[in-house]
Amino acid sequence: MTLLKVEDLKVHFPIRGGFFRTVVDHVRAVDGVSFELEEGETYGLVGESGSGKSTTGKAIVKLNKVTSGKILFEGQDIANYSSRQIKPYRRDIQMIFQDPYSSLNPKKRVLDIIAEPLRNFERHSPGEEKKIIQDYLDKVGLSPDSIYKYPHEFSGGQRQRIGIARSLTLKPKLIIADEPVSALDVSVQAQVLNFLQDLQEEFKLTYLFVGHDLGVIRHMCDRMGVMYRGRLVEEGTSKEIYNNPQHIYTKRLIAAIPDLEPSVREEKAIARQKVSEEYEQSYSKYFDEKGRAYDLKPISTTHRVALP
Amino acid sequence: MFLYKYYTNINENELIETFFTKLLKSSQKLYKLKLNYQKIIYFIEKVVIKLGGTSMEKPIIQIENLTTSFRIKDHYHAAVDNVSFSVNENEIVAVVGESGCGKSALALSIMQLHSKDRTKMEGAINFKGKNLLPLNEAQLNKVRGKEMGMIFQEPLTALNPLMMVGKQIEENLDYHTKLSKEQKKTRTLELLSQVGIPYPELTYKQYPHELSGGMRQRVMISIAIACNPDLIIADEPTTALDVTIQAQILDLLKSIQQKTQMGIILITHDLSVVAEVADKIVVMYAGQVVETGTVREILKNPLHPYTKSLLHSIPSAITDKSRLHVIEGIVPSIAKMDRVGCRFKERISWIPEEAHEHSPELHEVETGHWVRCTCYQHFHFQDEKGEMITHDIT
Amino acid sequence: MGMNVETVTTAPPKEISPSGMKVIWREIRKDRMAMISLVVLGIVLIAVYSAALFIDKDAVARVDVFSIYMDPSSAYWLGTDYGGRDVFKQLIIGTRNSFSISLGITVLTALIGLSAGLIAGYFGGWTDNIIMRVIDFVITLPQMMFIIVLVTIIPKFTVTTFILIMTLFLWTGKARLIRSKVLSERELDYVHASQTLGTPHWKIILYHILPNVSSLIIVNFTLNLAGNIGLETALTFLGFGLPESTPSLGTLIAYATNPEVLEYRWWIWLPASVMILILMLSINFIGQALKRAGDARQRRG
Repeated sequence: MTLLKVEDLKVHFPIRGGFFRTVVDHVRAVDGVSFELEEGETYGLVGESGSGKSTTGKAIVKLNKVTSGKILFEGQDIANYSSRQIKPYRRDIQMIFQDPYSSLNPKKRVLDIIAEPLRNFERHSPGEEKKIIQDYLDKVGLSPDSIYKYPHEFSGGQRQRIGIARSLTLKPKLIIADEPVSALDVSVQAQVLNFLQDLQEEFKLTYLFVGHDLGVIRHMCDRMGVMYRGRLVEEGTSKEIYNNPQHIYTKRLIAAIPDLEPSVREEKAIARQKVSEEYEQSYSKYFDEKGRAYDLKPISTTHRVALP
Repeated sequence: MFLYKYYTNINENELIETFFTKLLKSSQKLYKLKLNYQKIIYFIEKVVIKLGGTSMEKPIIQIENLTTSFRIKDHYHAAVDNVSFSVNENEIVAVVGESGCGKSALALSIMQLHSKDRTKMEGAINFKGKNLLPLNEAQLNKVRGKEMGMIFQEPLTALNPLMMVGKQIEENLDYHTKLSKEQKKTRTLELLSQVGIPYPELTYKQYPHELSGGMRQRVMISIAIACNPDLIIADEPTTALDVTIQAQILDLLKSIQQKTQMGIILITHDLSVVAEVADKIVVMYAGQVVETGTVREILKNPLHPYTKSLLHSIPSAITDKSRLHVIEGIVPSIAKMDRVGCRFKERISWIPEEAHEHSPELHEVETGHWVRCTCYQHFHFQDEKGEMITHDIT
Repeated sequence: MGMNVETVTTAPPKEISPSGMKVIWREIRKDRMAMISLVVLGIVLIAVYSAALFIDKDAVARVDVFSIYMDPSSAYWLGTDYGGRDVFKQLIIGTRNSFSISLGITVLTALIGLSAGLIAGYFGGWTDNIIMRVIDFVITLPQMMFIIVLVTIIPKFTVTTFILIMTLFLWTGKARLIRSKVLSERELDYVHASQTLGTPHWKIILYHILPNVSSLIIVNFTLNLAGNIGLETALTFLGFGLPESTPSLGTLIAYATNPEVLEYRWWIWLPASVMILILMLSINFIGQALKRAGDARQRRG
């Protein structure tokens, strides 16, 4: 069942200039993005900085205003909902943030941080609340007596896990993970990613994983979409994107991934050079006069590429 | 070719065709040969090292028993604990570790950029034969920037936001050379184009915030190489950059190195970056060096449990959706760490106590490959059975 | 990873991380000047406020022609002024008045400045614009002149009106300060997270942003307290503050404009000056300690 369907989503930020601060132009952060998410799958949104992937994620959670387009959650278009209309949907769509150091209020104890969503939507006695929270902390691998501690007493990975516990309390259906492991060390990354996978199974979650680390995305996601300058340039299963990239931008991205095998260094450098040349030559074929990518056209049942 | 045609009566077009096909075939062969070339060199290297000879090594910097301690509440705690390694000409040495291992402290220590009232440094930093540690600020400033350059992690904060980038490069030239104004400007433009900036004259006049991350990092590199240093310390130069820009910057560093034969100390936590560019690798944990050797050797045959665990935790190394390896526990804080015994002990609690050394030393298990503590011999992951690895430990 | 039912009833662990107040207390204890200041301030305030309860205000204000300019004696501990009024009692009531006025001004400016700053910083856009323009307007007004004019015009001039007039001009600085901090806090992820969790705006402002701004507020409050004492004294000295019927430290110092008093009857104005010095310095030292407590890097504790 399609849980989330994004249709031609556009998020434009106005640039104000001139004496009267009139709107002179727009920053087209997200410029016509369409994709679908099935229940229970993990979809990865990949792109470099400035590609609009984080903005897309935030727009779905209503942290950014949608300029045009539709966001259909379980069939309902929530793109233009006001904050009152969106409130019930907050239980179903949650977000995990990138920076573990600023996503938790430094002046609050863990108990209050995780209990916040519970207090917004449900009524529990303090004892019940504590029990629920300790349960969730257990699920993310933190000891139950962390509830009285402050965020600064935890490491980055632990803080990220607290953030995950917080997003789970309302039993959401869709979780948007905005680069949840980018700020963490490799060994801690592994821990958090493992937890995310376990939790997905246990709570029947659907993930929209936004990130730029292709290794992580490949590991976590079934399907992925590659974004460039606010538009999707390619979409397919992880295998298709890695082994058979079609769009020149995707090819360049894949060629740039460093390999853990030192003996292929030379080959890779040459391959990168070749791809970069191909990119220069074929630029006009894949992008129109304004520099926008074309619409996605399916080349197989799962693989879509932005071709003219 | 004319005569050939005359004598053999072949059609001219066919002749050209065959000529070019032959050329193509030979270039393909050369291409394959070039790829094999690396493997041949590697093989020869290994043979030479095995025969006991050292390869042509000319160390630019030799760090010997460097210990940097920071003062926390009236006690000094060592963040860099007895670290030794050397960097030769035209060599990239990667210092790898996660946060808390002391690698950033190490980078700043080599340049002696820590504040003097809270830091204590011991050991020796032999740069081109001279020990830098006892030098005072004035003497150090002659070396810093001129013979030793540094590239920082976050280019936006490392560059002065109020100064044109061209002027920032000139500042370095100003301090260390006696060039005239025009000469400085020429050299700056030359540097900017050397690092791959498309329009040097335009970029010269721009401010850091007007440039993209990759461009800023290139500007930083040009500041660092302005006076043709012999050593560059790059502190996580590509962490803040996208993957395609990262590849470009790494290629750039390598090409500059080819031209100038300088040594590079690359500090990073990303093992795949190390695999891409580095020659030697130094793995740090909790302030100590736990393993060191050539990149090929370490990545093919990691011995220390930390190195092994780290390699196992990287997602790109595993292609299916299986679980990633997780290292139990957390990195010890320098104030509360137990400095006696193997510092990685608690994170591999299933390995018996006897496997660890009481005061772990670095052992040369193969030429050039050093591992700290004997626990590697008995190490296995929790879900597999291990066999004991034996080496003649010197 | 199973659920542990027994953990529900555990008491909070003994090593609870210190809350804000404990950190502040620790910092004050470590700084000797601040500790001394706290003690001195405490003693002075308690003494003054309790003693003031026993003093008959009217008796102090009554002019007693027979006791003009008497020297300090057992009956009048600090002598009398030109109206025959007991200087010591005036000192006590004056200190109390000065401190109360300053406290009143500080509290009111804090409340108004805080609200304005929080709302302007959090909501941004037009709300922010309007509030900022109001602040700009108030700042451009010639403060002293307006105070003087208002003081002259207002018919029933009392302590309360004085406080209100001062508040009118002094809230802007605080508002700007808080607004800038709120602007930076607002962009942090935890505010975004609260929004996605369905927390209403007013709750976010009060329960999330306000605690993070609190260190700024406390420091600013304390330092303002000291400043306002000085401000009030200065105005009264110039004659635009309180009338003589309401003694304050300013009125006592105002007597020093008379050269004879200045030279020969120092016991009228000198104790008042010393009192001001003590009050302002001690509040200042405490404020410095608080500032350090807020900035983890500078902490001595």
